[in-house]
Amino acid sequence: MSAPGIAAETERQRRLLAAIFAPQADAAACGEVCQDGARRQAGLAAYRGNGLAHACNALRMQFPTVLAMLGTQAFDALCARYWRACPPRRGDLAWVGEELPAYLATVEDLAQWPWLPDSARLDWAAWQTSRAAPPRISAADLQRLTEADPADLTLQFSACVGHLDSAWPIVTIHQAHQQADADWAAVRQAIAAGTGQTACIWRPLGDPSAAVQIEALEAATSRWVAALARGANIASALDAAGAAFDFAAWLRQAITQGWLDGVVVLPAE
Amino acid sequence: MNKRQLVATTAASLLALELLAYSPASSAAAMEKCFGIAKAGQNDCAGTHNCAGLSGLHGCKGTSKVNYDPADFKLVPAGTCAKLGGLDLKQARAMLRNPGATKAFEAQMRKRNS
Amino acid sequence: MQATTLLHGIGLRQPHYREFRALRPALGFVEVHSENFFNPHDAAAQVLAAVREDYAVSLHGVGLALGSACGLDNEHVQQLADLVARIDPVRVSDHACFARAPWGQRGIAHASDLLPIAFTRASLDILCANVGRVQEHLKRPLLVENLSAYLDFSAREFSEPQFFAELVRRSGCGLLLDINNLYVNALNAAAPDPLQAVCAWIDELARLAPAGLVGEIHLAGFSAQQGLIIDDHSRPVSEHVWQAYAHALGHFDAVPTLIEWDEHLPTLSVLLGEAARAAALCAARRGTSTEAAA
Repeated sequence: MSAPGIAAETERQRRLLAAIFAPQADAAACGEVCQDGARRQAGLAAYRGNGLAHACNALRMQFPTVLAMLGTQAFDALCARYWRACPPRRGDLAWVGEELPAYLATVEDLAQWPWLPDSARLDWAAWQTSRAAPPRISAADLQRLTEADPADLTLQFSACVGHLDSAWPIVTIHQAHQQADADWAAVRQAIAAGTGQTACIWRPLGDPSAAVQIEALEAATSRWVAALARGANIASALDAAGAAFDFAAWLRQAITQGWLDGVVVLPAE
Repeated sequence: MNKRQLVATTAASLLALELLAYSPASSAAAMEKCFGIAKAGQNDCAGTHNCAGLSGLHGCKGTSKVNYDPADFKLVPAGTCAKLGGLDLKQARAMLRNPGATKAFEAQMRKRNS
Repeated sequence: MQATTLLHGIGLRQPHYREFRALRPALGFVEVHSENFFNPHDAAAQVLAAVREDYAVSLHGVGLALGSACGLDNEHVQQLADLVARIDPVRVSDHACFARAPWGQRGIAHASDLLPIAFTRASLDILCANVGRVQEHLKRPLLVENLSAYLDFSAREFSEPQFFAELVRRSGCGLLLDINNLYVNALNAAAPDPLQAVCAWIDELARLAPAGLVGEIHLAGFSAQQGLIIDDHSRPVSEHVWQAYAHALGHFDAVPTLIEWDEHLPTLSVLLGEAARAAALCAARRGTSTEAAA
């Protein structure tokens, strides 16, 4: 292969791609193509429309709550801006929404609804969780819990569960979107009160088509989960959680629902 | 009961119940959910992420929306945002965000399936 | 199933599935888009595995971007290899297009679309190297499909049939010949006789390339949109495309053939009717009788 030839092709392709992602279809910018005038504009528009439509279609599936909050027109406009600001890095559209939550936080037009980025994070967590690998925990892991000092052990979460800590009542907001007759006044009140929530997102085992579950954790469980996520040992995570935390009930649920990948011995300090 | 006893006895009782035999996923159930209630032209998978592959995230057809560029519009939410009531801008900016939690969450999500 | 004798296939689409399962039509294969099944843990994976028990599956990719000068996405190639290992497909294909290119500090951008490549020596080198890498990784040959292109680069050192004939000779891949794409290109180039242009394209390919290079044929419908013909798989196969298909069978003999229909989906029986028409043309070519689809 000739290096100058490859460099020329790289540049040719880069220019067309840049013209497709540019805010206005710039017919001059797409490099040397056979078509000109209106025919060139139409060709460029076809490519821009295609890529964007594919991305929008995937983003609608990945962010159903954000879509409901914005409505179709505003959501499509958001998709178009996002697609240009953060062009996909991968060819698998399952990942196209990865940066949408962070991008949402930068959109001035939507600053009046400051929980939108966290609602998007919750949608993304549900999407990811619906595709998660099964848990890897084994009887040997549980055996370890019966033998070793909890100060030397920690728990590893599986991909079947996720936790999202928010300054907004994101679970309340999310649940309102699942109901036909939601009490919007109550949701408005929760927002105004400024009560944050920690969401627990998990994928029911056994039926891959079952909907992902989302619930709000109460404070003690939330502290417990946060401590483990920081890598704390079980003893200090129990301290962080406090007396109100029901370890036995939680572990039973974690095992039945497949929330854990393993029980790990921490390296001696 | 001290922590060590609590952890050990809980784990021992769960071991005895043999809860770890996660049953293999049922394809019959998946097919019913993903396909069973489909009407022509209607994407019934919209409500469940799990069937996304079947309802076609990817395709090689061109779109009919050729002059499709909504990016220039101001983003005016017309969905449930109205019901939720936006904050006034000053109020919204005064609310503390939680950048630490956000960062940790995004790191956790990146690790998955990648 | 008479997978050994039947050559026609359809894309499996969600609204048809219940009827499909009840009818269990006789088909040579069912085709799906590979990327939709990359995740081994979701419900879609379960359904594809169940379908695979009854039908041969052809995996048709849209995201490898085989002509990208900046190279392939290793993770994408690995995910395809894993899917191939799970499904054991009858064929694996993707397009002669680019989609990835350098994008400043973000590294790479992917257009989520099938963008045209230049028919130059350098471009052929790139495509051959990328196809070779995927074939080495999958340990099986690929089929590479010709595009419907809405723009063409002016730099050109080969005709399109020459380019594909060279690709096959050098990389050992096969071709997925999309006859509707040829026809859409002829219409968009305002060819005075588009059917004749498509047949001439096919004749040139047949003259240059070894027999047996075409591993699969795609047929589809198109629509006119604001100054362009768009390959949106929204309508029945056009009469001219059927005629070009019969012409291609004259060169390449009976070849596995897919009806692509993705937009404004018809009933399953209409789709199977189109597939049966392809089967009948193949059978006529072979001079054998075959059972048409139900």
